[in-house]
Amino acid sequence: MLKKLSPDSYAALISILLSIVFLYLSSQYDYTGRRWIGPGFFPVWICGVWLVLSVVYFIQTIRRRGNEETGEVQDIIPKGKAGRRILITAANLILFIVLFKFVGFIAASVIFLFILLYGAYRWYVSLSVAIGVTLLLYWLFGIMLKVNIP
Amino acid sequence: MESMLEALQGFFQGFEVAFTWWNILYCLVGVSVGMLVGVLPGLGPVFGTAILIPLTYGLDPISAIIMLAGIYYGAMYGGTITSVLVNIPGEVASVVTAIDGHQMAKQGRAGTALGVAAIGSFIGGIVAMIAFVLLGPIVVKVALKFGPPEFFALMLFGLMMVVALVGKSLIKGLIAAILGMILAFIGEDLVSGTVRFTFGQLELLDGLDFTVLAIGLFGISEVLIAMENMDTKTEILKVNKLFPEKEEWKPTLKAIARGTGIGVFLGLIPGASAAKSSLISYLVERKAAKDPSRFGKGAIEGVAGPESANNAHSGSAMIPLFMLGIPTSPTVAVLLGAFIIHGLQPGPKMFETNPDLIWGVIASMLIGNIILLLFNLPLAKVWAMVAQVPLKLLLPLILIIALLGAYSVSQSLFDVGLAVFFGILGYFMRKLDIPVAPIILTFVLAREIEFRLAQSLIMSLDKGLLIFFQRPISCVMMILIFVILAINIIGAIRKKPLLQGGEPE
Repeated sequence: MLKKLSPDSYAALISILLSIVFLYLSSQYDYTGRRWIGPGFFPVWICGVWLVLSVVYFIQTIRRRGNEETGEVQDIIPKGKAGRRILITAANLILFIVLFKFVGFIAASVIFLFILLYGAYRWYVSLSVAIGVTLLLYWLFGIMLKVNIP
Repeated sequence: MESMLEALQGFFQGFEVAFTWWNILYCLVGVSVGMLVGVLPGLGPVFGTAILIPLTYGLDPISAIIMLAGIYYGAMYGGTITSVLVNIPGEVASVVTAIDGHQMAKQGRAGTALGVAAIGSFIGGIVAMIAFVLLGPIVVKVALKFGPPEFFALMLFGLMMVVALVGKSLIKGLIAAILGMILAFIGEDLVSGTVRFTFGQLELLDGLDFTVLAIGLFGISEVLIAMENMDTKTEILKVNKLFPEKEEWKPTLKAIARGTGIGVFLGLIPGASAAKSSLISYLVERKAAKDPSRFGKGAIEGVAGPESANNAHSGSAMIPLFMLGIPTSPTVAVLLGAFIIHGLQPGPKMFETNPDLIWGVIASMLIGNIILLLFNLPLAKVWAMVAQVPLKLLLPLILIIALLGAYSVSQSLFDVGLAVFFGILGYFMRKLDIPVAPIILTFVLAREIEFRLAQSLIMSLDKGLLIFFQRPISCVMMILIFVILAINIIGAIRKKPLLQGGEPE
């Protein structure tokens, strides 16, 4: 009976995969140094343990069918309004980084805040809050704490 | 540090440091900010400390630590306020307080609950401090005999216990811990200077910055999770009298005493978090009460005990942190990380190199506790109002502060990207019930552990790993580690048949 894998299982699989990748990478480093352990020693062991644990994890998830704890894959990100919000926020975070690079902090921050506050208040309130907070932070970090912000 | 007298001397010297105008101010700021963070539902001391670490960059180490410690304390108490008034625990340790505390609030006794919590916390904190002063010299004397093998075993031990007790599934906890180690390996290797796991990225040469990791994993991911429930409204209850009735003083004080004892004791042991302390205290109180049925309906001991335990635990957790350099729980690990950032290395050596720092911090803990007391009793109402700030306004603000904070670590946009990455990763991990806390713990400790391991092996003169068993102290610890591991694994295996038995086919 082929059953849909729970998100836990996917996580376990990813874990297994990563552990193998890192195990390979670790093995590239010297196992032993001149008189003591080399840079590869610890990581190799750790990755080994990781691999074993991941496999156990995976087996656990297979056995535990009908896993109510984490539900179906689709449920990881909640549906509807909340889900949209999360996705928007995540995208927004990335947007911020991109904007930051090109137009600097102040503009990026204002846009970032404005997007997040968009639905919450009327647009001019959101905008002014966005601008106000940005300026406040700029002052606080940039001038008070002497952090260099473009 | 030879004697108690010296310890006291150090203590008073510490007061000199802590009582400077500046430091008191920093402490005040820290406590206020901490309370602010703690009051907001869903955000806790770990979160507050992590996000605000960048704020302390400009300060000298002592002041920075004082402020961070203040944040920590403030946040713990802030969580209590929301637990009592709104029945939303501000953080894990406050969950227990919410049970009876909120009931008391509903009965119009919110003020009393808060007052008792404040007093209990204060007493708990003070006692923990006294324990520190008393135990200090003894522990340090023993610790100075520690060589690399002992430290290695000690850290491993601490690691084991914390990971084993965090989260429902041992396997997930261990995997998270390993993840932390791998992350710590990125960058230059302490032992040989080889560069590892950088995938060609220049920025990773120095390894991942702790602050960035903390902000992402604890800050951003926390916000993302909180965003799922942004629209819930909260109703607030009145705050009236601050002190319990006359008849209640006696049982209350007893509860405080018991709670303090529990907290101080458990704070010393790796693995027990402050939340566990308060939980155990609650159960003890219930057993000890003449009329257990009162619990769950507003029993004052149910607030006094756990809160004292809570604070006593936080205070006494400082003991292993400062004396031995090992964090006993993930929250303390964040503090440890903060220390390291400021160039400090907690441990027995610290008593020789930087005694004024340690005592300064301890003395400021005292001040912090006093401030908490003074702050809370009169201002409880004000804090309660803060809890009302709508999340939809708050969360974006927190995010931007987090992002900015991540940037200010090294003025690097790359770091911000990392923080976001870890934030999203952390979000998914939490959804999968994979505990996030162990990552921070192992991250902070991993390099040190590896270094000690290398040192130990050098010392062993080609005898290899046996050295751990040849020295008495480390041998004992290693055996303990194996025993605990074995118990946990057996326990985990035994659970499986039970689960399968109930599965429909």
